[in-house]
Amino acid sequence: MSALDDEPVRERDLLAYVDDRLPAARRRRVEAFLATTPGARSRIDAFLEQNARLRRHFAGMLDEPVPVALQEVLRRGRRPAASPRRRWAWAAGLAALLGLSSTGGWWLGTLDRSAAEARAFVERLASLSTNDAPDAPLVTADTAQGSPLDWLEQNVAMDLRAPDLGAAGWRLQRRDLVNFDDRPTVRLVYADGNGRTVDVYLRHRWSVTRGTPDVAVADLGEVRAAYWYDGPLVWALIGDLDAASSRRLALAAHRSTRLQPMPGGPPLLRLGPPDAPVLPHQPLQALDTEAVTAPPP
Amino acid sequence: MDDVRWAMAQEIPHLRRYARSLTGDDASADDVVQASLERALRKHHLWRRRGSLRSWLFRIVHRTFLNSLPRRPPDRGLDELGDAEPAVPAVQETRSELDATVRDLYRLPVAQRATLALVVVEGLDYEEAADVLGVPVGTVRSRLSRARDTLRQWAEPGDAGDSGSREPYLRRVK
Repeated sequence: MSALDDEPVRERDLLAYVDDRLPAARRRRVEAFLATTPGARSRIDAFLEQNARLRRHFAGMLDEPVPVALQEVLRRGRRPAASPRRRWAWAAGLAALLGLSSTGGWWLGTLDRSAAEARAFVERLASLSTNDAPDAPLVTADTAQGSPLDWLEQNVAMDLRAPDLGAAGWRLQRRDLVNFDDRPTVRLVYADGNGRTVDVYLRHRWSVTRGTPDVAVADLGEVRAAYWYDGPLVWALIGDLDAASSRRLALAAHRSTRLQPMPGGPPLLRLGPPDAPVLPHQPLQALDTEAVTAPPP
Repeated sequence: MDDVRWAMAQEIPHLRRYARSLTGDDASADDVVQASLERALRKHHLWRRRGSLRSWLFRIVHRTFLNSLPRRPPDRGLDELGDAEPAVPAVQETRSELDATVRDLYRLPVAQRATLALVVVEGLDYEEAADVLGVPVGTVRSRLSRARDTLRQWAEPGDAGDSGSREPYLRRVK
């Protein structure tokens, strides 16, 4: 106990006590004071009761749905995409892809969970991996403009790094910024020692979902697509792997890139304890987009 | 910029709650939040990613609310304004359904109510609250002290609510 802890209790100590902002030693000193000063004790008890009542009254408000008018304020004037039609197609496809539930989809409001749209979207994304001549990269790694991840990092103000899939035997080969739906998307290409490659795509997303995101897998014929979202980013891992391998690799990528919130920004969506060995996920159902679009419970 | 919008979107529930503690009714609170978000988007370059985005937005909500009040004395600081203004009356909820402490919260001067809401409901520390309100930390403490003593006084059995004395129990805490 320092000399400071023996100082007389003052009004500011009492306030800090009420607001639970005292160091432990000073707190004990205040409690000793209150134990011998009934007038102060009843005053502080009244203050604590006020705190409890106010918090109780206002607690539920954070869970209320956000009015559309307020959502629209932030949606208006966004950087325009190629055309409104295409932008909405993207939003609807992404919403369907991510399976936003009624409890989680407060941002987008009405969601289109059409399985057909989800399939179309994933197939379009997958075409970047299976097509020999996809959209030309806008930027490749180590150019004067910096790496694609740097570019995306600046856009989302987050600490980003390429997933480390070395433990699974996959090495990062190249990093591109590709044009997808007229929006820049980062593509990371990994290769194993046997000539196989998988592509990891990540891009900024506008929709905001609460709840626990999950890695989902879609079977697209030639390839499997595993995808998930993390804060303001949506990720997809696409390659000629079986479903179980796709999921395992996606979970490894997910773990190794867990985002850090921007300084002073809001906490990111919680994805489980930081040290959790495996992310919680639902057991895989049939590998089809019907399963993909099923909202999490 | 999209990341700022995204981050702002995350804060809307807190902004609505703080605005409601200021206005006392949902519709006015959402009007304040809407105007605040529009202003924040116009001024987003002023947020330098130092400090909390939430605090920056709270500050805008606070200013927007003050600007929405009628008859703002031009030469008074926010502290005096808050203490001089009558409590905002438009509490929509049926008074009998409101917790007595909450009902009394809306009888407090704006400055005290805002300070109490930021510290107690929103969980800001005193320095952050001072930053939002644009006052010294000592002023935050004195407002808290006065607000709490006033609420306590109004809660006394002898106090008849609306007819009770508005003279707060003053203590010097700076």
